[in-house]
Parts: sequence; C-alpha cells; structure tokens
Amino acid sequence: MKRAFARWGTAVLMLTMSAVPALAGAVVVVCQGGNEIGVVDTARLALTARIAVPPAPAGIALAPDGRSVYVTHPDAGMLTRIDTARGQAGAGVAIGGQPFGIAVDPDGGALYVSDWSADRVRRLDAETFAETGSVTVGHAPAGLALDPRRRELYSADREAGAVSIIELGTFKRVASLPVGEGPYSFDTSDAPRRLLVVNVRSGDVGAIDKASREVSRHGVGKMPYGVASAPTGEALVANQQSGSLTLLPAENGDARTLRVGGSPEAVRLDPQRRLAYVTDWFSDQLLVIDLDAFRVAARVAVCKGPRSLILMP
Amino acid sequence: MTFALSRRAVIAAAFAGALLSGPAFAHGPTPQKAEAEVVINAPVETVWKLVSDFGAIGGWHPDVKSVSATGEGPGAERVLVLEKGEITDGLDEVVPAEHHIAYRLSKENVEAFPVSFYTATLTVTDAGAGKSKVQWAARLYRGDTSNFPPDELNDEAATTAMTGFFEDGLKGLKAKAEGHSVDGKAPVGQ
Repeated sequence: MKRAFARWGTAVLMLTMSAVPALAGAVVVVCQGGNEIGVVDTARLALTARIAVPPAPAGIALAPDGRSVYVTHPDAGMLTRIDTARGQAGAGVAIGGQPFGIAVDPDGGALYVSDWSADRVRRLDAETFAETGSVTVGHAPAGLALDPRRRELYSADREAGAVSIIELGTFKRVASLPVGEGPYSFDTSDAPRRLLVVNVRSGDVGAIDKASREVSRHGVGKMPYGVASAPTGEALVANQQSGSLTLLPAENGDARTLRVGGSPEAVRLDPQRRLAYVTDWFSDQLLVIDLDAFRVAARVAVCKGPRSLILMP
Repeated sequence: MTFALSRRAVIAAAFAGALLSGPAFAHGPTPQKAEAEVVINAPVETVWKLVSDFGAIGGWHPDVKSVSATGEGPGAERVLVLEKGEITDGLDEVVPAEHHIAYRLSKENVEAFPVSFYTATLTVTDAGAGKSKVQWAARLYRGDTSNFPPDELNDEAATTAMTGFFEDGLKGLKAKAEGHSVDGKAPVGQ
C-alpha cells in the first residue's frame, strides 16, 4: 500500500512536471501563411501542437523568464502573448502600426517592437502592451536584437542600409552604422562581442564589433534572411533566394555552401547537440541541420509559411 | 483564357478611378506564394534551352509584348514590356546541372504588374518518356505593402497576377517547345 502510494505520488509529480513546461525543449515556429504557431518536438522530430493566433504572425521572442513568448502581427497591427506553461495563446492585442521585429528586455518588464512602415522602434509594457516610449530609426526597421550587458538595442533598418544602435537607459538612438544593402535580421545566438546582420540585397553578412562599432562584410548566397552563430565562432546563414545555407568559418577559411532548395529563412542553433533548425517558407518544413557533417539530417513538416522560430530552453 | 481576361478587366477597372492610397514600399513584411507547373512533351534539354536564355522570354510568353535584355548569366537584366507597361527582372543564379534559374524583380511598376517585389525560380526536371516538367514559383509582396492596400494592390491581386503570368507563360512555353500554337493562335514569337 505504501509502495503503491509512493508510485502514485511519483506519477502525479511527473504529470505535474510535464504539464508545466508545455513548450520546454521544443522548436516553436511562426507560420505566417497558416496563422498559427507550430510546436516541434525535437526528440521525435514531429509537429506535436498547433496554436492558432491572429492573422499573419511574423516575429517571435521569448521572455527571459521563459514564461511567455510574444508574437508580432504586422498586417493586423497586433501582438500576441503565448503562455509557455499551458501552450496557449491569449487574444491578439491591437497596438497599431506594422509591428515586425521583437525583443524582450530581461530588466524592467519592457519589450520592443519595430514598426516597419513608421520608421520607429516602440517600447511597450510587457504586461499591458501600453507604449512607454518610441524612437525614430532608419527607413523600414525589420529585425531587432538586444544586448542586456551593454544595455543596447539594435534595429536592422532595411531601406536605410544601416543598423541603429539605441541606448536602453535613455531610449535614444546613439548611432546608425552602414552595414550593407537591405539589412534584415540579426544573429539569433546572442553572441557577446560580435553582432551579425544579414543584408538581403547585397547578399552578405555584416559583422559589427560591438565595442569599436567597426563593420566587416562577408559574402554569402542570394538574399540571406537568417543567421545564427555557434560558440565556436562559425555562423550558419540561410540564403532564401539561392535555396542554400552558408557555413561561415570562425577564422579565415573557406565558407561552405549546402543547397537545400526551397526558401530557407530563419536559423536557430542548438550548440550542445551541434544542430541547427532552419525554416523553409516554401516547402512548409523545418530543416534539421547536422553542423559537423553539414547536411540535412531531417525535414519536419510543419504549418503553412514558416518564417521565424525559437528554440525553447 | 476567360480567367486571364476577367483578371485584366478587374485590374484595369480598378485603376481607372483609383489613386494609390497610403505609402507603398519596395518590400513588405508578409510574402505570398505563387506556383504553377506544366508537363511538356519535349526533352529537358529542349525546354532548358528556351528558359535558360533569360532575354528570350518574349519568344514564348504570350503576355510579354517585347523584351530588351542586357548582359549574360547572373547579373543579366531583362525589361519586359507588358500590356500596361514595363517591369525589369534581374537574373540571380543559373544552375545548369539542375536546370534551374533564380531571378528577381529589380524595377517594379505596380500599374503594369501589381507586385512590389518578387523572387522567382524556374526549374525543369525529367518527367520520363522524353517529357519534362517545368515548375515556376515565386515569393512575392503585394503592390501596396501598407496595412490598408486598395483592392487592386492587395495580396490577392498580386497572387492572381503572378499565378496568371506563370500559367500563361507555361502554356506558351509548352506550345513553343512542342511546336504548335496556343489556343489556335499562331505560335508565339513567330
């Protein structure tokens, strides 16, 4: 009896544990065409849940406490919060404009969204989504990146060919760095010293030294849309128009190219497992890339029009 | 064909009284997809010869009135004269081993073609028994990428125009490669 009770107790505990982090360890994919968020189990390599959201979701960011995921909807002028414990989306909140890129501040409960057609970055209260500030940047801001140590926010101003640097403390733009043509999104790996930005039109990656603010450029394929770097310093780039991936070396050396077809777009790395996850907008798949062998290890069918993604801790 | 005519009529009617409202940008945040394919009763190499010559589209596409092309290989450009005006394409990649080309819209003209930007690929594969399959696909952005586009510049108008351009083109390509006429008309480009 005592033993049975103990077993029952363990079962309850396990149920509770598995119920709490509904999205733990998953790849969470934003499916713009399908108006939903796909949850991919990385062990089973299968789509295990689909979360309906308002129209045309685009950007995604994870709150530092891991409890919330925020999704932007540029066409609808909305933001959605997803509860990661329950794996459920709240109602879309109308904030206006064309919110696209998104970053969450680990301090102070703020989040930041780029407003594509209004040439500004907005600061919002992470709970209420009320606007608490706005800063003018270059034309057509797309991706955002936030460095919590330097207390800086970066905006890829696509039509300006520049990256804006915004001081979080004052919420003022302190620099605009020319980086290439059509800067679109940043390294999703949060590297401390170097910030990579993909330049869609010039077909290269700009590497910004965060301390000196010097920029070097590295040619990749046509229309790179996503990049992520490994702790070893290599970076994987998704070239949307070429249907290829470029693996940039850590030091001087040759870049390697892998044709995957379709329209590869956003990249996230799992450095421990030496895997990368890449959305393919055209084939409605998530590609799993073995970084050491530099090959496609798996293709997982997801929802329609996958664009951005995150890897849940 | 009825479909193509009614599509043009709708766009023409919409433009007759409409001015562009709101800002339009060369690229927007939400791409759309257009795809079309056809099986041609001709070998891959025959079809590849037609489609890999970037400036020769006027010889097989019925919607292209004339073309002026500059350069060869990646970086080449072609100005397409359509019924309502000109647009310019730029060639990005040619992969002969895969019979694949990739190109993009390098100069838009939403009055001639209601798409503000596209990237497109055209791939020819062996369909067996001396036949080939041609797949034409694009990632495109509506003519007015603001959140309140007029009907003639919205996602649906853009996707309809792009799909129609592909379907008309593939009919023309098939006719040209198989050496007969489209819908009883004289072979295009002759």
